[in-house]
Amino acid sequence: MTQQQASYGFWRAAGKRLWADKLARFCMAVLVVYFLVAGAAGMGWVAKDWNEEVGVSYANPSFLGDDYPNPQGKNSIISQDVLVIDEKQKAVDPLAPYYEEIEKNAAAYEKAEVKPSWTLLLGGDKWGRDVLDKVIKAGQVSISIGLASALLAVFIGTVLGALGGYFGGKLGDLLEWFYNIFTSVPYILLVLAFAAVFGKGVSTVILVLGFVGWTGTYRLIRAEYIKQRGRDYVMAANAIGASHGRKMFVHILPNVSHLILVQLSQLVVDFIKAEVILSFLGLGVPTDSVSWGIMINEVMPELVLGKWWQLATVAVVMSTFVVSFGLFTDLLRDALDPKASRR
Amino acid sequence: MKLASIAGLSLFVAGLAGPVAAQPADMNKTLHTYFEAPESGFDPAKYSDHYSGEVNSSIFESLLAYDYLARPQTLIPRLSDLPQVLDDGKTFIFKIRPGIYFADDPVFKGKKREVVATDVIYTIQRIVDPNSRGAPWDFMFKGKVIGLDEKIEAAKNKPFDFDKPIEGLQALDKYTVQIKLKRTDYNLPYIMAAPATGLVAREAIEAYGENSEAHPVGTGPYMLKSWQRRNRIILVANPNYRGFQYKPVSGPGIEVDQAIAKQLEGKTFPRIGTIDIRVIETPQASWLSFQSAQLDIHPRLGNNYSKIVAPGNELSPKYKEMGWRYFREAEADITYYMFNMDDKVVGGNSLERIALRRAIALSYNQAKELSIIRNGQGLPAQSPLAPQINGYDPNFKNVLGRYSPSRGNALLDMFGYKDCDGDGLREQPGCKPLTITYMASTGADGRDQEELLLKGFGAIGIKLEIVKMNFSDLLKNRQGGTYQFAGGAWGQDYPDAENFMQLLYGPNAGPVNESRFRNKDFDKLYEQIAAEPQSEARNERLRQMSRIVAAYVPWIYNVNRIRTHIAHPWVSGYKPHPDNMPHWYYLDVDVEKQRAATSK
Repeated sequence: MTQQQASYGFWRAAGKRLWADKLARFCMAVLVVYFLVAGAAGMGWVAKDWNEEVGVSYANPSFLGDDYPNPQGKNSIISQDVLVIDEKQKAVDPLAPYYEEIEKNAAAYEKAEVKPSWTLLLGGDKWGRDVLDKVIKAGQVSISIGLASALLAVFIGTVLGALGGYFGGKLGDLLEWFYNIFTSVPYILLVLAFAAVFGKGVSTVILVLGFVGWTGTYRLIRAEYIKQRGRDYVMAANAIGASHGRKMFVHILPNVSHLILVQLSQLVVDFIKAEVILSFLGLGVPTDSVSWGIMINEVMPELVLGKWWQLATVAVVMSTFVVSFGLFTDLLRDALDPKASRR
Repeated sequence: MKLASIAGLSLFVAGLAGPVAAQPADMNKTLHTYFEAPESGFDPAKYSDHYSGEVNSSIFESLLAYDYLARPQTLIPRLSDLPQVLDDGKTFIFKIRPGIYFADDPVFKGKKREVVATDVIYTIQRIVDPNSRGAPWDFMFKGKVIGLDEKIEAAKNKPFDFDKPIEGLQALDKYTVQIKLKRTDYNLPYIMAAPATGLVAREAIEAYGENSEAHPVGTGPYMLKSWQRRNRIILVANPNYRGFQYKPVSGPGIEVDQAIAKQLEGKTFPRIGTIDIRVIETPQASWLSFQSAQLDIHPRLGNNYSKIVAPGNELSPKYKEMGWRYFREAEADITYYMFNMDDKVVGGNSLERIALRRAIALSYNQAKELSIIRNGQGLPAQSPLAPQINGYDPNFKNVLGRYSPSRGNALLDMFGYKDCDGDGLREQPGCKPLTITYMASTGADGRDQEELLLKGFGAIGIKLEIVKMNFSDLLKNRQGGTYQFAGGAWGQDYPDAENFMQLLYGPNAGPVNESRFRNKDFDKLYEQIAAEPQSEARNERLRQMSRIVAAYVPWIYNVNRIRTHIAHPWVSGYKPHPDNMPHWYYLDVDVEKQRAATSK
């Protein structure tokens, strides 16, 4: 009888271990929901109109009702007085001959007044934008910044770490020096310096975080390559004449990839938090976009007015994501490294 | 630093030993207040930031002053009598009052140093001396005083020659100084009341040299006791100070706050021995400090806090019960957006460019800026002028000012700004690309304003790009004319419309007239109003200037800010002044009540 179940492959075994954990399954479910919603927002299926003023200023959350006092609400309805243009003004106005034509043509642009709502599901912000839509859109921005910059950082860290660890010698020293100089600068200063050079925008936030955050991955991968390069299977590859590139990336890389995966998921969480700080400092995402960091930055003056719902929403949504992702990373690490099981 | 406090201490001891007649301040009394932004240094000629000015106004004295309670702002004698005006406002003669002394300082070698006419001449020359850190106040005298410009020119690469006499500045005798101008300027007396023209002693400035900002020696009621830069400033009463009693001026159209006048009656000032100023940059922190009685007065509450303290312009019952007093006043300032009139896209006076700027003005929602961003803490600005100054007409309205994106769209259609490539955004006439770049500083949190601008530009289909930089770079770009569209703000140096209209005067195009607006009619009117005293005809000329600005739109007016100030019940005599200076020397504290509140 042939043995059907000789042994699982490494990945399959790890997957099984992960799936066996209830908490891991729960976290994965939460993350899947977040990624789906972020994806849908990215495609414009949900929260497309997050920037529209659908409610009055600081519209109440639905469960508080229309009657809950909102003195700021009428701010959305007031408008400037329309004044009669007098003769003295006409006399100095080069556009005076066109007044009638302007009025005529403007009629085509007049839109039907949309009456802003006094309540929204999770309330409104100061402009009367829906906090629910806003937090979804912000989630899309924050999560994509986290993912993209983590990918960039891990890529840089892995390539440099592989080069340094595999070759060692002068090249390794050089990379070590570079690393030392880089880490001798305090993290937040480095981020600010990069941000000041690159200017503002989502792509620059990704670049900044990626360029600054690769150092941890680099150290880890370098150490792993030093360990692996003397192993038998590398010697064997050597014997059959494999090139350096092949040994580095075809033979050794799969054996350290679980570390990379863990690094990746850890950095996603770190970078989402870093984006919050950057946006808080005014260096993050630009004005026509929104992120969780921007929302947190906005709530300070709101709380003074007793408007707590934006803070509550963004706090719950963001901390759920960060906690789930953090737990998932932890469990993933355990699953990928059976020897270090903490149970 | 150390030297300063030792010097201060020895003076203090000398003061106690000397005759007590002059010094009415009670050294047991302390007033705690705060600055919302850090100071730079206490040399009036070198620094033009507001908070240094607040301290300078208590240490140094100008020849004239504004009456504390009279509104509108009214000049009164201080070191000199009100000037004699000759030659239709071209010659001014100031008579300094004898027997006014500088605070004691080691540079005077133990002798009392009296204020004389040559001090005025030295002070004015120092203000225009480029070596005074670039002379930030030189606009007050440059181009006006006969012979002064030649001296500035000569000082380009060498030290300023203070001793060479010029026709414009002469000491007629020990106490009389004559200032002669090239053209009529009725604002000169106001300038001689600005804190920047506070008199300095040449010996002190020369002895301390580069360090003069840490060793202010003036004639005013207070002296610098200790200074932790950007953190804490402590002032003590000047034992040499002559002391004074307050009597409000009276005259046609002058109103005086009688309740405060009662509090001040019969007292000799200053009353408070020590002024303790902390720099607290976070509005929340200063608010909490005031609540816990660590601050006695809290000038300039943050917008949201002023809403809490006094919603609907009345102190909320909770705080009324605690005896707080609150003051809400329109400040003599204006905020605005400006276009660079030399720019190839937004500048110029062709009809299509005027239409573009007008369309952008129509897309700006002034009502929302006021109600949502500023919580109602402002007035919708209607002209380049500010409240509380001569020539400001509260009834004048900018009839072209309106929020109407549909009219903006109509205007743009009519003048050829069409969407050529179908991306929903307009191009310039002839289908050249159109993007307007707005420059803003990273320091101030302007995100709310930027969101409002973006919304407006979106509504008329114009692409707006926002470029952020630090404030000094922004200022460099604005003054150098390397910008397209930016925000600005101006507060009074002296309470006259001329101080605001100069910002749009053609020949000032450059660092002063940052929008580089040049309009012959406007300039002609400006030259008239700059050289005539107040009158209804002048006010009409000012309105006409405002109409020209509204039509050509070098500026889009935002708001005149309203500020809310609060004080604890144990502080008496407190009233904010439109000149924005603190006037601590009119205040008094009830030490018993103050102690009781802080120990709670």
